[in-house]
Amino acid sequence: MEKIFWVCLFWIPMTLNAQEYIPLEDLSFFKPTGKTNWKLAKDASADLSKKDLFSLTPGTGVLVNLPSEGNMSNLHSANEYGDVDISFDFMMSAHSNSGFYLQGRYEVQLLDSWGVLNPTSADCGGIYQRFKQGKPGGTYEGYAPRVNACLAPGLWQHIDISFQAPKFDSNGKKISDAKMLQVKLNGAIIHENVSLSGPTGGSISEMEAEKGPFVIQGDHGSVAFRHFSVKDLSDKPAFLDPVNYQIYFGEFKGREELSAKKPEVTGIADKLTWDLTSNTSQFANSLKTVLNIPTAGEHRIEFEIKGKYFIQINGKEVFVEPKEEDNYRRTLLLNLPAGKVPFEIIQIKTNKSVNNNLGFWISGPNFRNTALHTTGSYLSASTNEEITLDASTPRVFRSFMDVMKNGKRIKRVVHSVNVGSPDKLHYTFDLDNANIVQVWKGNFLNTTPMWDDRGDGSSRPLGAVLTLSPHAFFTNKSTVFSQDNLGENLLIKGYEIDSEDIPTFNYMLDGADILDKTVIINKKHFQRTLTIKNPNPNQLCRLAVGSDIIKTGENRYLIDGKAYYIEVSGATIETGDNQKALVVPASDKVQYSIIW
Amino acid sequence: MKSNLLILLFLYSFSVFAQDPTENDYYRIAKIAIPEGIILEAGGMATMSNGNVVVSSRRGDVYIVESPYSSKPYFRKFATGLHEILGLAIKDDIIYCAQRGELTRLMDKNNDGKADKYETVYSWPISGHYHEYSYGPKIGPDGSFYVTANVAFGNSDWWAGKSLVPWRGWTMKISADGKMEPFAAGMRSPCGIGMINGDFFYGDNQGDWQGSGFISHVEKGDFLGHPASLAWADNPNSPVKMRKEEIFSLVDPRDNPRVKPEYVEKEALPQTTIFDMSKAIPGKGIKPPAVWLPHGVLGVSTSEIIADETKGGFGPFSGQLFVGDQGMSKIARVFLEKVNGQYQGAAFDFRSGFRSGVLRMSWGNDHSLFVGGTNRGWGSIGNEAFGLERLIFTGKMPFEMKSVKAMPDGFEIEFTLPVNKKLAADVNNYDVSSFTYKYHPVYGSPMVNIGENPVRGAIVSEDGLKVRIVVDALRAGYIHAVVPEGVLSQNESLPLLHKTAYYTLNAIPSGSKANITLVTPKSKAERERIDAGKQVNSPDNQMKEAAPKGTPKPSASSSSVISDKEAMALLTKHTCVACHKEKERAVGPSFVDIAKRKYTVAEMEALIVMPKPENWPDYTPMAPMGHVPRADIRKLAAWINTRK
Repeated sequence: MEKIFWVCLFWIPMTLNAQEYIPLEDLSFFKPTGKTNWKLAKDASADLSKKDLFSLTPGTGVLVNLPSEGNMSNLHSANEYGDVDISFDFMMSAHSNSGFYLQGRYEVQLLDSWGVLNPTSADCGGIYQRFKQGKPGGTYEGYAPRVNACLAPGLWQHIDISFQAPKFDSNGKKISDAKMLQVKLNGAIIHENVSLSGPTGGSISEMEAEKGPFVIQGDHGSVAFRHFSVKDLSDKPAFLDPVNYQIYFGEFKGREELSAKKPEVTGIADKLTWDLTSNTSQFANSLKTVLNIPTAGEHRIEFEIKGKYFIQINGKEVFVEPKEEDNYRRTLLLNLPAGKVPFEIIQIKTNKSVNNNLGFWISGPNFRNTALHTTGSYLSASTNEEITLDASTPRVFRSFMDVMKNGKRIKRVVHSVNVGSPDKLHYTFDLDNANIVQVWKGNFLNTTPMWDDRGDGSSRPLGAVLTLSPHAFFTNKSTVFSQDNLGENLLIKGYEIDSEDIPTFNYMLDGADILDKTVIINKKHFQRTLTIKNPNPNQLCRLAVGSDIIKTGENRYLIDGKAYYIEVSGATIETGDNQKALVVPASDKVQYSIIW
Repeated sequence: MKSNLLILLFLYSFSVFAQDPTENDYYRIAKIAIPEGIILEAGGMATMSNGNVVVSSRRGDVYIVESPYSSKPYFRKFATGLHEILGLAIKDDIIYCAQRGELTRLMDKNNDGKADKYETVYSWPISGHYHEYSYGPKIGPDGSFYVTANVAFGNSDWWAGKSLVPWRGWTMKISADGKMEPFAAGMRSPCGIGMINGDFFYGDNQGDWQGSGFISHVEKGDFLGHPASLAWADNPNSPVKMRKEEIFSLVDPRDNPRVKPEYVEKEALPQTTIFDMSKAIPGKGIKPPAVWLPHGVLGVSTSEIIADETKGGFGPFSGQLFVGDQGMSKIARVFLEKVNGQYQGAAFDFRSGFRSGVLRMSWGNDHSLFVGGTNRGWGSIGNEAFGLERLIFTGKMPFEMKSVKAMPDGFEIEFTLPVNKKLAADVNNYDVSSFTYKYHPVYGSPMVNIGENPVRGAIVSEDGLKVRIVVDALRAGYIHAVVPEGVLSQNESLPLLHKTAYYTLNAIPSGSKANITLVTPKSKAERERIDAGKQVNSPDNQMKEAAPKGTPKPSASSSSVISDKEAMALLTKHTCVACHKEKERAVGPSFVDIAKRKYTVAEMEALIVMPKPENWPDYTPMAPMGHVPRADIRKLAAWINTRK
């Protein structure tokens, strides 16, 4: 990675919008480069192992880099950004290398790190190192991702970055570092609150700045991008005018009683708080102030207040909590105008026995969630330690398991067996459906949900999760696309563990006795083998279901919008309503690989 | 529950040197060292034929404890990764356990000391709700496995037990080859399980529809009380004839999902008990409890039921039952008899002071009793998160009521040691009262319909070991608290170690009345004695905590606050000490913590009568205590406020 100096020739005024999705119909989001390695396409595909093999489907929507000798430049965004949330999909070709720079200065590495057990800062998702000035070969800092969450070449991956720009005082002196607030790769958090002391290697400038362009590295290998989504968060956050408070002592049933009374204590505070007098048991507080809103638009307020309370914003009552016992954190979306907005909270506390709390946060179209209360006014209720289970030796662990799709729970698997490996590839087997419902990379399980206090009997995967099919594994021609489960035809018999601590599941289905074992090949992917005694001739094994299934090699299939591969021989693709299924007949031996 | 919990006596002068005996004098608790790093949270326990003890944890591990009798027990992890095991059993040297969702057979085929085959004997439906624990197995005489299943709860109606999938709230009987027959319904939280002489017993926890904990003999087709499980009674395999509609014709189910049913003293429909229901609706399998375990006294969350098979090796209670309790970290004792073909009997305190919740028990091969437990999620008086202990009989005979049998006109008490005949023959040395629990959708029930039962005669046997008392106003279906308050042993004038027998008098036996002239006892007020000068005879560890270490500074109104000793007597009498300690958190908050809230006496009185669980969200909810005389509540409230 050489240092490349760039000088910013233009400054383009920004329009502050909330969430901006970049459709990639053309390259106008970026500055012209003078080279032709960056192209648009409808889709791209890369081989699993052949270096740099990229084929394109003509069209728009996908940004592709096909560098060649003399024709390789980086790509800069036309706009510059400070605090920002950005997410996008990317696809690596085998052995390829790229990078995404925030402000052109701080790089999140994009690399084909498929199969790397202990990633470094130079691996996919790593925050790249800094180079020592003037000292050849010296590097420092650099942050490895918490886990290797990257996928195999040729698959679409997803990254979410929350970035906070460095802050400067009025003299231009830096008062806080740039920060990666959070980076998630394929759903797994790989960085959180990482402070960056300065630009990483290959930055456009060694001088840090309030704003800078996105830069995508283009001089190292073929890579494709799509679905850029940007949220500009560089507005100054909303802030409060001095808060005028009036405190009434006593037990009040409602705020009507306050108008007749004279407050015992009045005054002015900087921020919102409940804790204004020594009377902490029964009181009514009226807090009146003004919100200064930088930009009109949709704002999100969050509040957690003990007691009865009433919130009025901009003259309208936006929330009333009439019951004393309630103590939930609530979220509301409000459209607010720019400028000064009146804001009032009345909090009535009559239950002597409970602790007090007042927490209030606001985020806006262009600024992050900001607390408007004093530090002492809000104490978070939960302080639970995290309990995790590792798989430094292979292990089998049963729990309830929630299967998620797009952030929503689609199923709670109740007879589930989780299998973990020191190779950091893990899967969940649904005994009732004889199917692998999900696979994940990274660490094994977060068991806090089941072992903290009463628990709920479930655990969570601790890594990048790929949800497979929640359907039954066995089907027949007429039920390929119905959400059937195996029901009473299935007799679960348990599992046996071999000398390597690998389980083989055993069950009977319609009289056929089945042994079902999944192993890890080359520490890179799963291979599942089913040995079926007296297989039913009408029965099919449904290896995958997805929005599409593309055959890419003799025995290789890309599933569900290039989310993962299945390798199997003798399979056919069945077509349903907006769905495809990959099936093989149930025979004496069914074997296939899940590669992702 | 008024006078029967008076626990202080006058002692004759010559015994002034001796402290009253404590449980520890007769049964010692030995801690078993658990290796660092093992989060034992014992949920299952069984003893192997070679004397090793198998313990399972709620975290899914099964350990074989070798040399558990020595000072250096060795824990070997036999199996792992199971889903919250809550019971173990050994059959033909093979270990079986109930996970949340299946009954599993664990086998070590290659003899490397670790299970390598996790065979599913039977996998049952489960919805995935947190409360759906499954307990067992217990092995029946025909080799089949009995497993019991917890209900789930509603969403908005989080207080209401629900049976979301078959067979939650049922007992399942599973054959060795994996065939399941639904056996009985009506359970809520059936953590208590035991196989007693081939009869399957279970114990439930206080909760909605269950006024208090209890144990019951479970027979095929029985309905044990909680309606939720009847959702599956129509299933073709169900032997249960009872239906929800029949219950709700007698009891208002109050099943509005937005309104939690609270205790109502007078309801529209006549108050009923499960005993009343069994008489009102015969032939449908309604099975009232065989022996109630009064809530807050003998337990708050019933667990393992085990019979004393030691033939005297564990003391004088051979053949009787021991019942564990998770929340009160103690073991109660139950004497069973059959009257009119059904089990009933008496429950007594036995041993407190275990370091965590008591969940499972298993006999060692030396007649000691292994006790294991956990308190995660529900709290316990023993404040350790988990424990493994051994209860050992010292060989010294305690002075106890060995058994209490029902008589046509009273009870016959058999003592472990000869009694002082003069004291035992005086009816004024006995207090008997009776009460019952409401059957309703509310969480738990206070003792209701409390009545005094005058003792009209007492016949002492020649050898001084038995006393037959004639008792008036016996009520079938009621729990009779029999308290030989003033009876001392003949030698050493020992008071009873445990003074109260709670006899569940489901049936009054027929037969001849006692041959004795009846007398009229003195009134209760004349008999009631509180000696503020004697130490309270209470279980060890509770006493250590409760006894104040010096007189607190008198406050301005100290003249109106009772003395510590009087407070302690009242706290014990009204069973407050079951859940509260002075300075330390137990099942409930400490008195010091309560005092910090600066309630007025009136406020505290209201909260004792009708507790508000939301005031103490980290604690098990408190039962309403409206049956306690208000004067006593006010005295205690004022005293609690002086705690620092």
